[in-house]
Amino acid sequence: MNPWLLASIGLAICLIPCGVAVFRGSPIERLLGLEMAGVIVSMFFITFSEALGNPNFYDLALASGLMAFGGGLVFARFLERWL
Amino acid sequence: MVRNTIALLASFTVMLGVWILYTSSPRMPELCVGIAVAILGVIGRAIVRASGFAVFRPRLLWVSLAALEPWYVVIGAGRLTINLARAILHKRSLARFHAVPFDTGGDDPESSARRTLVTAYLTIPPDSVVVGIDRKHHELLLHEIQPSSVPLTARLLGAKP
Amino acid sequence: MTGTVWIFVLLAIVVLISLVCCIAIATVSDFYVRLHYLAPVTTVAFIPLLIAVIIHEGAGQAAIKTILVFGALLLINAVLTHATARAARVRQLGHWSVDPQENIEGAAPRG
Repeated sequence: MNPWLLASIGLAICLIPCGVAVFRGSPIERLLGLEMAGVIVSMFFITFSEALGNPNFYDLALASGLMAFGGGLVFARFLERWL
Repeated sequence: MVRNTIALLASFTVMLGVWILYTSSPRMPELCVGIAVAILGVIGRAIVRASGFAVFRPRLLWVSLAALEPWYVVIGAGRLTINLARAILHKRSLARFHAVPFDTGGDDPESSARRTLVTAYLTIPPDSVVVGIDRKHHELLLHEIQPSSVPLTARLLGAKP
Repeated sequence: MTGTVWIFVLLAIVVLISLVCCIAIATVSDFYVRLHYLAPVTTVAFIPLLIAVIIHEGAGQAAIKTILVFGALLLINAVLTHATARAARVRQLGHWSVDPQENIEGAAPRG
């Protein structure tokens, strides 16, 4: 098994504590789990891209990072003002 | 007029440059998409500037302070590790809120740039997070993982030790 | 050491830092302390990942894309951390600035 695939599995495992954080505590504490998951997913796409030898997944890494930013910021603003 | 045109051309070139770097492809379709996207970006930039929203004019010295960030990241990571070790050993956390006296300035583009940069420079390292800059009381509220002195970058941007 | 061994070591560091920070996000009790654990993943763990990509692929398109993702995540993370800290304060107090009831070092006297 190549190290990139092992790292991908390791990063996928990192999503478990993020999931636990998302399902526990107040809404703002859950948001923290979501934000961390966004970063981990971006890194996962980079290692997975190398594991499969498919450079197209690099675009997904950038796209998921930017979308995590949009999502996280909208949630933070909503939680601050309305929810 | 000439200055605005130069600024627009410069931002077009930067946006197209980033696109070419990202795709790393000299093919014509990629270049056409890059030009189209860069034009859209320039139009967006012009609209934002015309509306007077988030006008931002940093000095070169302030931007160059970013070179110190790797050092603060290393120090911050060390402090966070100490905090983690204390948590594992069930010792009391030293984390606290800290209000730092800060020259907040006015609505001018330079003060706006200064406030934005100090927020970024103090939030990027793992040991501190800027909550906000209180313009009424002239102070910067940050949460730090352990008590520490005001970093040089913040002092050069208007924080008082 | 060969390139593969270096890559293995670097990726192990990436996964270890990420795992520790994710577990801290899920387990640390103080919300504001937890917030600090967002930063090391982008500022510290991303560097070995970038070096591993450069060792594996050379300084080509993959490295450029990884640097762009790194830059984007660095800024995105700082903005999100700041916005989340502010949102948490507003939800807790109704405003984010120093409250007269709070005992915060360095705060100017209120009202």
